[in-house]
Amino acid sequence: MTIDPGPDVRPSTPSRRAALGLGLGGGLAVAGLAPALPAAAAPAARTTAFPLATVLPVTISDLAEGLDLDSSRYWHLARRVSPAPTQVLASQIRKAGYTAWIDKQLAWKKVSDTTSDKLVAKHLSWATMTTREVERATGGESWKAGKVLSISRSWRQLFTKRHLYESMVETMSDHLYISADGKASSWVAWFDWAVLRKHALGKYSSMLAAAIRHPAMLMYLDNHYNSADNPNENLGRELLELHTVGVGHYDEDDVRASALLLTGHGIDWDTFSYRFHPDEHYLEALQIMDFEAPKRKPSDGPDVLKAYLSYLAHHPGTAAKIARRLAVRYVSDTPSEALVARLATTYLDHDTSLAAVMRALLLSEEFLDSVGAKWRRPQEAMTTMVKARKPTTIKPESKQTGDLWSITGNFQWLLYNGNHQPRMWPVVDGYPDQASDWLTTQALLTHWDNAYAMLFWDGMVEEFPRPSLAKALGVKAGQQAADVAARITLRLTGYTWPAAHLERVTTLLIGSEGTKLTASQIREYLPGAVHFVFTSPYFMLR
Amino acid sequence: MPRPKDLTRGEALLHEDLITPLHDHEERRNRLLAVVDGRTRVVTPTQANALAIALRPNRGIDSAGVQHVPSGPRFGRRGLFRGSLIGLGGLLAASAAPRYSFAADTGRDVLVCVFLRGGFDGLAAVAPVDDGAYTLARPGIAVTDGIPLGAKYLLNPNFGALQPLWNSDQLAIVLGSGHPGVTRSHFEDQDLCERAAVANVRSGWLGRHIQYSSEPSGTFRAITIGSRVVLSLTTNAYQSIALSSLDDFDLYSDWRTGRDTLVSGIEALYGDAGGVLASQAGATLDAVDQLGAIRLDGDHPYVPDGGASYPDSEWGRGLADIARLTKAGLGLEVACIDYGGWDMHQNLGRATDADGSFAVLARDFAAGLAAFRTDLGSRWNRVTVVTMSEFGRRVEENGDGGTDHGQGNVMFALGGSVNGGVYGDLPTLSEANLVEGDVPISIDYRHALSEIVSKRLRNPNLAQVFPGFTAERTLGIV
Repeated sequence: MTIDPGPDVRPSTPSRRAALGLGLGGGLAVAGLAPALPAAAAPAARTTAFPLATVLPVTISDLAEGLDLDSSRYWHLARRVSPAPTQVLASQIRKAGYTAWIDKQLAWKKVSDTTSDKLVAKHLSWATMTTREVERATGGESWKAGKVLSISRSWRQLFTKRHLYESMVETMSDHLYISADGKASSWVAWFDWAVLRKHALGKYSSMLAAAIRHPAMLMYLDNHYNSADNPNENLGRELLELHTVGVGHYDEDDVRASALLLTGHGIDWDTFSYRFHPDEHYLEALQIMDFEAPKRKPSDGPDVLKAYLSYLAHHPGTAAKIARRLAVRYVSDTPSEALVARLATTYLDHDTSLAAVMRALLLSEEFLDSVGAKWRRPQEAMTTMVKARKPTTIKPESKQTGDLWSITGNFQWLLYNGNHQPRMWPVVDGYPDQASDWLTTQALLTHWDNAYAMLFWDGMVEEFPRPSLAKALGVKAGQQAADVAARITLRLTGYTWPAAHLERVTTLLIGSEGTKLTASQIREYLPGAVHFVFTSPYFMLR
Repeated sequence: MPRPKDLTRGEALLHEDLITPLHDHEERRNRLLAVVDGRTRVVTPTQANALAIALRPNRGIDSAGVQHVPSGPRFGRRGLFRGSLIGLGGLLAASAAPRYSFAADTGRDVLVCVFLRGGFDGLAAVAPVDDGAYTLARPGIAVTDGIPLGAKYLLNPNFGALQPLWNSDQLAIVLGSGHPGVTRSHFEDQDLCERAAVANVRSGWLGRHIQYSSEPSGTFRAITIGSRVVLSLTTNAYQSIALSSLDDFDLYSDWRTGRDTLVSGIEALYGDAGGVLASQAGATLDAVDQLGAIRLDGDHPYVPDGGASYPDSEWGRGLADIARLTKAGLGLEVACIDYGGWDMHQNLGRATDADGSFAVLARDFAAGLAAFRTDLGSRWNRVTVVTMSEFGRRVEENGDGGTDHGQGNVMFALGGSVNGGVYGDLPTLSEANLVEGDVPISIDYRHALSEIVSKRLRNPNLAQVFPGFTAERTLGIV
């Protein structure tokens, strides 16, 4: 069941803590102020305003069972769908209303995004070109577009107002994955805007049809070599395994037939664009699962491929696969089978609409009840740390025509260390998206050290001009250290920290010298305190 | 970056005349003693540092800094851990001491498990001699000249650095090996090989080995070189660590915050979070301390023994780190390392073309292992290296000078206790002898692994490590 929680209603489901019989702990005060609604009252309550309705029940994440996660639904939504969530965004969501904000974000074309568009157009224009254009612009070094695209992804994540849309672009890039480093580097930027950006909240059937016929995909999975005389199975197999139905729906004969159906779809090397080579196409009848391609004329190849891709996109296996990917990205590492099934039904009922699936997902009870169930990946952690400093723009150290590593070199270097540069995963299945992949010793240490760099590297200031840390966080001399600790922890993580943990931040700010902050204490100790907040599990629980 | 004005963690203990560590059999009662104003007093680590600063001005701590190199900014090396071997961390940190340095000799080898990701082409590595079907199937890439492995097979000459190992009977090659349930999917088959058990088992075979061999503890008992723990080493019973580089594994803190304060803050919050967060943060901080000690203990940069020269590659650096950890005596038993890039659907290259895709990787692979052996010296006798890959590749070359996903493959086992030689056999590679165009899997790869587990890792619990598998034959590779 999908519920529309309305703008101001606490979810009617009991928190997991209550369900676990653990009592409400820190949530008691909240519960006392805003009595929980009986489930049946939820729809009628849509029009009713409750004073403390922004507060979610205190939740427990499977990742951190010992922490009471006290947050608001607005922050929860912001943390999940924004590549760089902030307190300001959480306030905007509250003001707009939970559901209304989602609907505005789904209608992404109506959200003006000039800052990020302008930054990319001005400094990273290669990311917005076709391969042919970038060949010319680079004097034959079009491979550089891959690197430029990767950088542009971080910039957009930092400055976008189309939060959900940019998040979906990245999510779907892991699904129809093409590495920006390697054989498709000249093509992947074009793929990004012509396929992923175009269809990120559109129909998956359209996205798939565009992706499989795009030169980037044909290059990346070797289909430009695939011909009736010399079949190459790479794309034919991954199309079934990764992009659509997944293992369990087909056998090796299907893989072979899938590859043969794709023969002849390749590249025109004069124009650097997609081209069908009829003389390389396999003409005999083919059967792939329930899809039948009759014996055909060479010129029928493109139509047969279109029909095949449409069949695949509408297959229940694909519906479940897309539903699961989105649920794992946005709800939890272990979404319920019921949720996945429901989202798959939504997908099929809405002609493969990704927007429809996302809407159902974000309005589901399971989503609302999943506070802190995800662990931030390095891209999200990094952009969120930069964004918290309220950067006003980006000042590249080098141009795209110069040293690519120095454009926003510090930031890129830190993402490289974190093993999460956009589109730089070396394998065909895209970046993993579960905590176990990002909670290793190496990943934790890299995050702690990257957080240090965020606060103490001069280069970060040069790349992202911004006000002082104190100004960005609203910290002033004369304020009570304990209040500042409470405010900055909430502002930087979206969780209300318990007293024992706040006390550590207070101590970092002021030691045992009084209770009010001096200007020199702010200058000397605020960065270290923020470093600590960034290293904390609260910051990483998405 | 500001120059530290304070002494960093453990620095006070360099001043032995000022600060005396007092040990107790109960770790938490360990104390630091200092003579202040003529009186011996118990001091905190922070007080100890403060005292040392007051009496001994800062001496010789490397300045921190960001170094700009062509590939981007880098953290500078710091002397952050100078003194930490004898430092507060080692002496006073709760439960740190037992894990330090005195790992008892268990009699087990160190096992290095190399996963060749992407589907290693065994037929590009080991070729049958005088098999017309082979050369016919691979007109552009067949290996026809190389290092003889007995009368029937040839080793691709790009693995030439392994020849001394072959000559000294320390290189075993298992032909026609693999998992009988192979599906030709990278991800399915990697899971299959690393789980080495039916699908509802969620752990990996090496994780189960750790779990069922003795107390599953010790920070460095099992590691993955890389950013993620490989599935082979996964088990709920033991969180093993992943590290990309021994030299870079260090925690940075602002001197005004103080490293101890940051560490204790992290310990407290992650500790309260419990579960996987607590265990991973704990392991990370332990590893930071212990690797700091190793770095202190040796040359920087690392100088391998015996004049060994590792290739300048991720693989070479990874093996060098494994050698360092082996030599450090931290109780390392299992090290996993991945070598990716074998998914060569196109332009695999001739063995005679030095720039061929396969040739380049093969040379790096062999040179790394040769250096590893030299570097380890006599320790090599107690080290076993084994390789695996998710599947072999199709016998027939595809239209693009590459090979598609296949089945039967080659495994290498190397080590001072390995019985060199070729194990198993390939049929004539004509169509009738193949399975769907692939080398048939005639030796379940678990035969090789189970021999290593029982004989070199001295773990008799094979039923737990390889549930559902019973060896039908003895290979005798170790």
